[in-house]
Amino acid sequence: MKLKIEKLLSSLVKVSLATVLLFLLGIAGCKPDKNIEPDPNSNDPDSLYVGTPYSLQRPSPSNRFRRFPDSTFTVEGIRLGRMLFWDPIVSADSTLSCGSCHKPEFAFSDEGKQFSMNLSGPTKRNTPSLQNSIWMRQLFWDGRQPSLEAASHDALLDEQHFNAAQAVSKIEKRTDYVPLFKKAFGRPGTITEDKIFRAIGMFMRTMISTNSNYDKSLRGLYTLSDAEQRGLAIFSTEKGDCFHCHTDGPYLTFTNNEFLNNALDSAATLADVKDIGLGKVTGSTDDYGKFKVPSVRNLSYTYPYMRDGRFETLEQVVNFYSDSLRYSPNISPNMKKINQGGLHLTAQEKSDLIAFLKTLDDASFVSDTAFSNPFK
Amino acid sequence: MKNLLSLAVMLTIFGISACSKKEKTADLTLNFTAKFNNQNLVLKSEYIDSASYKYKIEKFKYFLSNIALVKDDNTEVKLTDLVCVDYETPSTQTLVIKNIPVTHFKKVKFGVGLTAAQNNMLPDDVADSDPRHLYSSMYWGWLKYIFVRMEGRSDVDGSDKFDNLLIYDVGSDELYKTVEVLKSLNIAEGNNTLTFRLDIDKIFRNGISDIDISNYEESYTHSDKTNSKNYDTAIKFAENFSKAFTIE
Repeated sequence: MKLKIEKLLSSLVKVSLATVLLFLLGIAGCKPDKNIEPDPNSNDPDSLYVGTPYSLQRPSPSNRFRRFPDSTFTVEGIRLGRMLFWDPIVSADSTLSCGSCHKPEFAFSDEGKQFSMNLSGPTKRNTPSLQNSIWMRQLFWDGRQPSLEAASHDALLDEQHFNAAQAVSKIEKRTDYVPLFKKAFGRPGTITEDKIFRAIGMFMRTMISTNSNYDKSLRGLYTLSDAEQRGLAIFSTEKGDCFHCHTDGPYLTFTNNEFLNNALDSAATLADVKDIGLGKVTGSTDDYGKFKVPSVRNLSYTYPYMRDGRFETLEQVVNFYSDSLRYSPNISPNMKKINQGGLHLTAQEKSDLIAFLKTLDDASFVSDTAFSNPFK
Repeated sequence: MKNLLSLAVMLTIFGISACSKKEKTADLTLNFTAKFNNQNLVLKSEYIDSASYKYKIEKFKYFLSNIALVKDDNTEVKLTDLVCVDYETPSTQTLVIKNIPVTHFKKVKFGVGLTAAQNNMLPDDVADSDPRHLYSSMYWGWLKYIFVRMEGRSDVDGSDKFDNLLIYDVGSDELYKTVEVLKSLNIAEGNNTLTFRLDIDKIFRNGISDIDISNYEESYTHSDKTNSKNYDTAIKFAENFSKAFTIE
C-alpha cells in the first residue's frame, strides 16, 4: 500500500513538473513577435522592429539551383523600394523615375530606344535590363559601381541630376512616405539617402527572371522544338561558342559577369580604341574597349542590342558574331577565327540559334504585376 | 561504484598524459608560382615559346585539391582540401598553414582539379569563402567545375596580330589527376615554405606529348566529350599540366 502511494506521488510530481514546463513553454511561445509588434508608428527608440522577412518566390531556374543569394529583404522594404523606383520625386525636376527608363514590359530596358536618356538628352549607352541583378557584381556597361545601391545612386545622379538633400526634403513632405520608411526600417523613421537606395536595392533584387521556356524545359515542363534543340547545341558547343561568355553557370544567368572586348570595332593599337569602357574605370589601357557581358535572357524584350544599341534585331547580332568580327589587340580570346571574321554559321544554323535564344524569353516576368507602377 | 571510480582515475591520467605529449608545430607557407623561362608569369605580356610562336595569357586559374605531406612512416598530414590559384589575384598565390608537426617529410601529394565529391557540389552548396563560390567563373552547368582555365591569344604566323586562340578549359571527373612528388622537407620551428612551381612552357612542350598551338584543333578545348578532337586536346592538356609542376 505504502509503495502504491509513493508511486502515485511520484507520478503526480512528474505530471506537475511537465505541466509547469509546458506552461513556461506556452508563455515563451506567447512572447510578442518582434516582426509585428511593437507598433512601428510609436516613437520608442528601443524598438527592435525589423520588418517582415521576405523570401523570394520565384521558381528555381532548374532543379539544380534552389537557393537564392542571401539578402536582407523585408516585405515593407520592397514595398517602399517599389514606390521609390516608380516615383519621379527622386529626380531633380520631379519628371523622371527609375521606371521611366527601366520598363517591366521590356524586361526593365527602355522600350527599344537606342540610347538611355537623361535630363540633358541622350547618353551614349543603351539602357541595360535590370533582370537578375541579384546575381550581378560590378554594375553598368563599364562596371563602375560595385553594388545595386551604388549603381542606382549613380544612375539617378547622372541621369536625373539627383540631389540627396533635395530628394530627402521632398520625400519628407509627403505624408504617405513617412510611415512607409518607419515600417521598412523601424523607428525613428527618419528619411535618409541611405535608406532610399537600400529600399530601391531590395526591390531590384526581386526582379528575377527564371521562368522561360528553357527554364521550364530543365524542370521537365516544356519540350524544346527541333530547331530550339539544334540552336542550343550551337549555343553550347564550339560550333557557335556562345556559352563561354553567356555561360549557363551558376543560377543560369547567361552571363559570366566578366568584362570583355567583343570585337565590335577594329583598332590597330589600344591607343586607337575610341569607346574605352572598363579602361576608363580601371585606368588600364589593357581594359580599353572592354564592356560587361550582358545576359541573353529576354532578348525579345531588350532590343536594340550592344552597349550602344547599334543592332536593332537578333539577326544582326548573330550575323555580326558569325561573320563580321573586327580585330583589336585585346579582343576576347573567345572570339574565334577573328582573322576570317568569325565562325561563319549557315543561314539554317543562324535561325536555329535565334530559335533557341527566344526560349530564354520569360513572358511571366515581363507581365508580373509585382513590378508594375503602384501609382497607376 | 568502485569500477566507476577507477574509470574516472584512468580517464584523468589519460587526459594528463595526452596533454604532456603535445607535438611541436610550425607554420608552413605554400606558394603557387607560374614561371616562363625562370621568370614569374605576367598575364597579358608577350612570350615566345620554343617553336618561336608568340603568345599572351590573359586569364589563368586552376584548382588543386587534397594537398598533403607524407611523413617517413607513411602517415599523412593534410594541408588543405581545395585551393583555386588565380594569377589575377595575388592573394590566391600563397596560403599559410598552421600547426604543421615539426618533423621530416619525404613526399608531397596533391590532386590537380577537384575530386569527384568536390566536383559534385554546386556553387550554391558551398560557403562564400569556398574557392568554388558563385563568382569564381569556374563552373558550367554541363561540365561542372573547370579544373584549369587558361585563356589567351597567339601569333603563330608572324603577322604581329594576336589573332589565334589559346584557350584551355579543362574539367570533368575523368581528367582529375593525382600527383606525388618525392621531396625531402624538414619542418623546423618558426616559418617554413613550400613552393608549387608550374612551368608554362612544359605544358605545351615536354618532348612526349607536345601541344601545337599553331594547329587550330590543339589551340583550344572546353573538354567537350561529344567532340573527340576537342576532348583529346583536353586529355593532353590535363596530362601535361599535371606533369609541369615541380616542388621547391
